[in-house]
Amino acid sequence: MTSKRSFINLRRENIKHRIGMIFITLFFFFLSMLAFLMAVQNQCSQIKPEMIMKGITGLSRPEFGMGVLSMGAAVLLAVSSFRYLHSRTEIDFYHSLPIRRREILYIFLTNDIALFVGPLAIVTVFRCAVTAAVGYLSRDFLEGSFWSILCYTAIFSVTYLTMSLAMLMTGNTFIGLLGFCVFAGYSPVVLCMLYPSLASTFFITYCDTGTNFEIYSYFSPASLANLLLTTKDAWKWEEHIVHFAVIGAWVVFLLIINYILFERRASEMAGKAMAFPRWNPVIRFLLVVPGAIYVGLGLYAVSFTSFKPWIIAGVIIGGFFVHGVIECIYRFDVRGLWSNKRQMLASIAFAFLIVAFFWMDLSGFDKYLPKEEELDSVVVESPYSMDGSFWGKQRKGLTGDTMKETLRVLGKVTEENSKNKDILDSGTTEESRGFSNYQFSYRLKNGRVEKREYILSPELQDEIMEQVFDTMEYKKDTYSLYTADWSLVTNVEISYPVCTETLDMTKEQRSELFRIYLEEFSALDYKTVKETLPFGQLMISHRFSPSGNYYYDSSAETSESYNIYPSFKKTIKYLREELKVDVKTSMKDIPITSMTVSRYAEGSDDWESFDIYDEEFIDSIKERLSYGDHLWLYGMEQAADTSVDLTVTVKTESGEGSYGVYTDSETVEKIKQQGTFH
Amino acid sequence: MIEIKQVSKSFEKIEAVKDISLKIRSQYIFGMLGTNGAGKSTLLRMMAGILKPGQGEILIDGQNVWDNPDVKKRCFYISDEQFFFPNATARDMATFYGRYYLKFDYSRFDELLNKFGLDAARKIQTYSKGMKKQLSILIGLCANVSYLFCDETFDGLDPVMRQGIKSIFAKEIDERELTPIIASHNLRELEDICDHIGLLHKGGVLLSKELADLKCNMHKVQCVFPEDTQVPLYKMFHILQLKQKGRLLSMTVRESEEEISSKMESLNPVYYEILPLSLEEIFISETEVVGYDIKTLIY
Repeated sequence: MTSKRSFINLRRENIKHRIGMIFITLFFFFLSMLAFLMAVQNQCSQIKPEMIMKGITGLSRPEFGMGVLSMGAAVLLAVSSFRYLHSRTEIDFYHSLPIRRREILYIFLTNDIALFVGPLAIVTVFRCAVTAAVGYLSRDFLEGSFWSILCYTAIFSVTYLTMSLAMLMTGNTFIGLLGFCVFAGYSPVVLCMLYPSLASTFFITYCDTGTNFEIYSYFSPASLANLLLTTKDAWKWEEHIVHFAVIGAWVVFLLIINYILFERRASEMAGKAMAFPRWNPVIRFLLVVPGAIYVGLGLYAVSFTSFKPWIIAGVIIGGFFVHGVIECIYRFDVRGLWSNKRQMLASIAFAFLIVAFFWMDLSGFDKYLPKEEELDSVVVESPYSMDGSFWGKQRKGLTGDTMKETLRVLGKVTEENSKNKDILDSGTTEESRGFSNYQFSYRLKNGRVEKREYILSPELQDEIMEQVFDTMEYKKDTYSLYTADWSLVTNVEISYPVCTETLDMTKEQRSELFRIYLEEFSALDYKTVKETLPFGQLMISHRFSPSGNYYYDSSAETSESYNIYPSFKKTIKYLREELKVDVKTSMKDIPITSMTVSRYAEGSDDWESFDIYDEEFIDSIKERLSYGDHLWLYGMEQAADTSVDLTVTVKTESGEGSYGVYTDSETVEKIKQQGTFH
Repeated sequence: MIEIKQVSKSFEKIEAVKDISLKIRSQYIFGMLGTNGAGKSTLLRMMAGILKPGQGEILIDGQNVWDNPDVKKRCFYISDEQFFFPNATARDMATFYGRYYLKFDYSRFDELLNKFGLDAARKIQTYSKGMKKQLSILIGLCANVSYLFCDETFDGLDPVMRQGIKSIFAKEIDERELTPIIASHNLRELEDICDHIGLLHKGGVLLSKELADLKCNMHKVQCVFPEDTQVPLYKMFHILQLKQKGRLLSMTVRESEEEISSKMESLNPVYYEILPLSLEEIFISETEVVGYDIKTLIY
């Protein structure tokens, strides 16, 4: 064993011969110091000291730029250290030296870590010094700096060891870099997307399950780095304990595997494509099978048809191509394209088996309907509900009798789904009118969630809504305001004929308005929705809770709308009396000067219209008109005839304005008689 | 002493070294001869601990060389294409090797550099191919090791330098028990310097003998027998090669001069002459016996 003293000497000697790498690393860290100086200068230009403090403290936290720099440094250092394994001359040189192989590995590892951590520590000290000099050094800044060092070192370590693994497994640096790309992308891209790609192609009822695919990111240094640095708000270490643990586990695993491979790697593999030829068939198989499937799906997608045999052609072409490319790489010879034909056929056959499994729906995905006794609840997400932006508490779903009845209707839905899909895909506009996609989440008693998307005919939608709309379970799951944290609300506007204004109210008034509104909305039944049109709506702007599991971070702001019906007497009264809003509940008193009636010409894409200026006629139907600025709910199309578009011109203080309106079928017929479309 | 025990090495489907067993005594200059692809470099790289034998083992002074720094401290491998760090000078390389070979003799290194006219402060990348070879040999010599593995080391050296290196080798062998193992195609050079020759062919050892024995035991005999005389030459001599031109017979015979002479006398030839074989001729004869016919390559 090399003595401690000579080991240090050997490390020093190794460092001496890596001047280029030291220069590159130091140069990038120097750039990062400059960037920090500029950022501090930028923050200091703010007026309020607390904002400067907040901004500068934020600079200490882990961020993507340095994360990418850490990854780049890791790749460069690993390549520069292990590149010698790919050159016969250099391998003869290093492996003839009187030193154990594992000691060479220790020298490289320790030196490379020192080459990264050393400058990183210097940069951190520099940052602290600059921050202290401008008078904003705080405990938070030091804490942020500590976590930054830890993050970047973790990212560096996992990337470095992955790159060195790729270098060890190959005999050529270019192939080593390709190998690193495979390691970095295989799990989070190739594997992660395989099931959703196949399922969305072959399963009619497949929809984004909202499954957490984070697990796939755990097997790639790049996506692990992304997870570690991604934050909704300010970076907090508490949110990344799992990521640190996963990286730690990976580092240990990669150290062990690197050690074993370094010891076992045959020196004669320098210059070959792969250093462990026994693993070649396994690697090839793991790449060819998904490669063939993806090419199949890709060819199907670019064909812009629903002609699925393109997938077969694609799998064959893809299997042949991916296998051939890998063989050419293995052999450094284009003539390798046809090598190992049996394995190529086996890989293609396996890819076919997977495709066939999905194509023939052997798992019964589309026919799936859980048994009542297995089911805990069902969550209905109609196209009219606010799925992506739901900011209330977690949905509970339908239970009890409502769930049973819904399940009964879903039995019919499942049976008709394929037929309805055909109608929606290839039926005429008239045939497919009113067809719509609904998502149902089956929450099973065993904790699993199965999500399906069905195409529902108008009759089935009606049947579902008759079961669910009147229940509080549905309303609470669909309308966020019931369960949301109202302190996140930033603004409330009201729109009514023909005006939109911001409600100027206290928090207490706002809460009272919401309470009254929800009381009346809870009483709103499906029958009313089908028969009555709302006259206006509340538009509620809000942020998202930082602790919630939303698509958005807490700085994002969005809004959602809530219809106000003429039957919401208490809400109208509160608006008028407490909030002093002159709410108009109908178009009766609106000075309409003309009306434009438009529609698509029958059997063509041309738009045809006519105008009505007869004020007497307009006055006679005013009360039947409904201001069009509202949230569309299922059932409303029965109250409103949408076969024509109606736009009214209204006299205002500043001139004239145009507004969309709706009305019932009977009134539409009267309107149509007032002119001729042209 | 180096003991090579039933060593084999394959590179995928190619068997580079096949069940070789050899003993190389200390303080001998061992010349490793062989046809192209005979496995000389592979064997040398295994002896230097670079390659791991597929089968068998290589012992140096009784210890396995593979991944054994204690043994490798006593060995220095000079590759046919030596590696030097980019931008390194001869001095830098000496310092580097000095970290690994603790007995590295820096003063001797300086002295030898001067003798060979190499500039210690000049970047090695500006050296000629021959100068790089010289430098690698000098570093190897100054590393003060017992075993020096030279792979095609003398190729690319001019005759003066070759002689210079050879004389240093001779001196080192006497002074500090150096054992150089030299793999080369250059038979004439090995002939001048080697004590022992190992002849490799297609991964196996055709012969391993001391050069003196090899030369003493192999001769070229030219003879003419009286007309109509039937001589059972193949029965009497260990003939490796026999050629006839008119009545003149040329034979390569693996026997001592005395044995050939006495047998010839008994046959009463019209004329006979026993000539020593050069190493090159021995190489060609031995390899021809196992089917490596130089004529098929040339004609």
